[in-house]
Amino acid sequence: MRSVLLLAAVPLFAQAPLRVEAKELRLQNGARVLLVERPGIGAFHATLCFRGGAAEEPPEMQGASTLLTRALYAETLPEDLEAPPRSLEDHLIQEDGLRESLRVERRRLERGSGSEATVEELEATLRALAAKRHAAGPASLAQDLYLALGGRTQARVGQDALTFGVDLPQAHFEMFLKTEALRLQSMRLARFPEARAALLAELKDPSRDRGTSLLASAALPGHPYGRDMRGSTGSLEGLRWSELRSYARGRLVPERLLMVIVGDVGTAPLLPLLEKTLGALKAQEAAEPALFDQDGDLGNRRLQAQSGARDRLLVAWRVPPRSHPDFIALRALLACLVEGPSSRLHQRLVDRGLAKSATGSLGATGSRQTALLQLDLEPAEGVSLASLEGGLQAEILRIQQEPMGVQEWQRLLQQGELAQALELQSAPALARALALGWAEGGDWRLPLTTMDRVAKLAPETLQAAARKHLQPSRLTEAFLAPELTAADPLEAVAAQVLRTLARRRIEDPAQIETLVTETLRQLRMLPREDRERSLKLLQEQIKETVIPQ
Amino acid sequence: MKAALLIVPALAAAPPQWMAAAPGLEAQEANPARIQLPSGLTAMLWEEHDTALIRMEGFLPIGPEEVPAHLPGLPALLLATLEASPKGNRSAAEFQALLDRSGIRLELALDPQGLRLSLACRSRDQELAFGLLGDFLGRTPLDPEALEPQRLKLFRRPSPNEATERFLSTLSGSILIPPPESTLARAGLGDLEILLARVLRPARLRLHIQGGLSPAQATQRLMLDLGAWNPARVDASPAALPVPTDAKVEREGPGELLIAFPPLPPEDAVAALFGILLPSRLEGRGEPGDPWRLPVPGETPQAALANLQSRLAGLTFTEAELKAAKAYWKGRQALLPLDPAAALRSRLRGMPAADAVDRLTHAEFQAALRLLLAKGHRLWRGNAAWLKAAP
Repeated sequence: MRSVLLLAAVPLFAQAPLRVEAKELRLQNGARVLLVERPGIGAFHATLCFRGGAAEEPPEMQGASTLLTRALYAETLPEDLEAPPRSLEDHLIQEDGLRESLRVERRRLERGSGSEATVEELEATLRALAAKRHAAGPASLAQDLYLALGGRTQARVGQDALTFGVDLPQAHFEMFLKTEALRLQSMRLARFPEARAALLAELKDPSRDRGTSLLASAALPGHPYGRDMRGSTGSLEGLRWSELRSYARGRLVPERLLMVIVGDVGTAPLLPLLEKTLGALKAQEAAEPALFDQDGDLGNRRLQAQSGARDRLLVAWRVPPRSHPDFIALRALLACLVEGPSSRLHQRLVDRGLAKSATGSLGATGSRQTALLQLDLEPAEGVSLASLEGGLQAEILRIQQEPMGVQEWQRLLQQGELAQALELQSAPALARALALGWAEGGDWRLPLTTMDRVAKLAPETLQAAARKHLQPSRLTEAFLAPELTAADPLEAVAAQVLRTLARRRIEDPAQIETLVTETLRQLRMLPREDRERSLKLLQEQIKETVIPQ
Repeated sequence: MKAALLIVPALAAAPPQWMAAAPGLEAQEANPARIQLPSGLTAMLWEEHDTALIRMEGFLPIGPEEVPAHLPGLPALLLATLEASPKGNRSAAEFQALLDRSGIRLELALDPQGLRLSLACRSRDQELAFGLLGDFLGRTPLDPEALEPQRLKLFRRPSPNEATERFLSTLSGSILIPPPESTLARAGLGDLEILLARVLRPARLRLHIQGGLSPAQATQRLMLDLGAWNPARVDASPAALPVPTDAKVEREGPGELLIAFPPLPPEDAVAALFGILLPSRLEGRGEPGDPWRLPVPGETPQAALANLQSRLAGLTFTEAELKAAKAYWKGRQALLPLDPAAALRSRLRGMPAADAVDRLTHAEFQAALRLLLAKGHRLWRGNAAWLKAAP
């Protein structure tokens, strides 16, 4: 048994516009708590952060973290805080079986061998079972424990962490701790079927922008960060309630939990309360999965695809993880490129009429392991993606070769300091930043010391980082054309059929898109009659597939 | 363990005698303190000394009736030209570079009901920040050379949903419309100057300031940097954009029924509670003030409309529901200090007084709701190419 530890009470950021004092506690079961007090404000924010997100899913459980986040945290109902009764378990297990039968019957129907009557019968039985579980519709104001108090919640899952944030008035702090301990203890997941149906519908939505996930797939082939969520529909359809519950029990354990509290938590002694609630969760060793070490120098990769409503050029460089010393220089480099109207790409691409917009991100696909520095550029009217690419390349060369001026360096420091102070003033933003600092970089102090670390750099450091990391061999480019619209239904159907066929032979979504785009381009050269004939032939190939019995 | 106060006020001294005696100048010792300048500019100061940051949120309303009927989307062109024009004695680029170099964030954006202004800086930069704000608001002559590039920048190929978006904007009384090609071709500097002179006026600006400033310091800063901002009045009123009562709407995707309720003052307790309770009665999604979208798969537009009309006509809430809405509202108010930026925006938008919400009885709420629904709501369905005003 670990003893309760008060690990640190650290005043940080003392010379900057916002002072943050954080107290770190470790509970007996291994859970960590970080407290940033703001007495007297009458409310608090808490973020529960579980290290390890979607990147740790085994291939057969792809999509499980997203589904778990929704099934566990979408609502806070009193009945969800009790251990699931036997009847509920029976219901959910029965629904699992029926749903699988329905899926297979629908597949059969698509291929002409199923029965509509069976499908309808299965659907009706499922509806009746769901009604028995009282699963209809979202919870009302009075039903949801947090909503009834005016509370706000937000659950998110990334590649490196699952987070759940709650804002509540101060008077309900104890109730919040008890509720969260019960939620994790019971792990009821009562609305698992509804959460799964909604998630599958979202993933199958054709209007969903696929640009960034295609870029990630191409930039990080085989890496968990590069997995396309659309590829998880198969595993999600086959996932059972009991499997997700057991997955959650292995992942959401005290050892991997950091709870960050920012705000007013009253005057009652905190430690006994924490021990009585979150501290009472069963301690469990959680094996840390091996990190996937992606070689940064995979060579330049290019991808053409149709996605979204506009032409876009997306580029990504594979860069080191957040814990790497160069990461902070890369962050400053990104700010230099795209942050604010005085940034390089705004001045040289947007203001000169080459681009309509230029934005970027660092570590958006995850940053505990190999991260991506991404840029998203939209060309101005009449400018081709190739011209925009040329303009961008010139800017990257310039930042690698020409020293940064004093004024530009000054701008980076001043803007960075203000941006950091503004972000950390918000309790939810501060809590999230601290939590992700811990989950991604291994240290919650990272976001508080960002500007101190930037200030210790020099313009030459940024230039060196650009030379080292913004190399063509680490670069992936995606040239995105607008998605096909209903204006040419034939082409839309052809694209769908081609994707289905390609997925049977190729795993890499980026390669699939390139193949589909190129085939469509060739089809467009044919007369309409020939295109229709080709489409029929392709559709026949789908029907020939063996149906699982 | 309260965060330490690091501010060393640059202007700790009391305001000079002449300022205290100036006619029309008011400042009260309360939080918020109301400050009024002789020009009519009114600011609310929320003192917040725990951080050495200053934020300002401002709003300049623009009604659809202030935009000439033949120039829809003119406010967007005005904003773009305003940003590209020189400010004070600096070019637009020099002005922006100075902001960036000094770590001051000053942004102007178009809102459905007007221009939104947002400023943030560290307390130590307040003198420069107020000065730059004064230059932006009071010393920005529109530059004819800045106009032409903005026409090109704002030009875009019409998107398939553009007609729908424009229709929805007009119907909801929003000025947030991308300027169509006709506006970009026709609008001249004169049109922009008239609109600018009409909307950019001290008396119209609603300004909320938050940070480590005393009322005396804030008054002094505002007087020094914005006191001289008092442009000549423009009386000409343009022909207003007609509010459509019927239109053809072509849309992609599944059918949706959209409802626009008449705009309600944010200070109205009934409006606040109705906005909380509405989602419990209508499926779909939306925010109070925006069109509410309801999915209506598999129904004819007429059936969907009739169904909704009857549901709205009989709309009623129980006493328990009203109590729950009040508890929710009260809880949300308590959360405001968690995010000072959101709190300031919320204060700028306006909100009902807590005791007004508390005092509202169930009978009063129901009666006010009947009146609200009787005022009419507009309904239309996305892919039904049709709109009907409710009786």
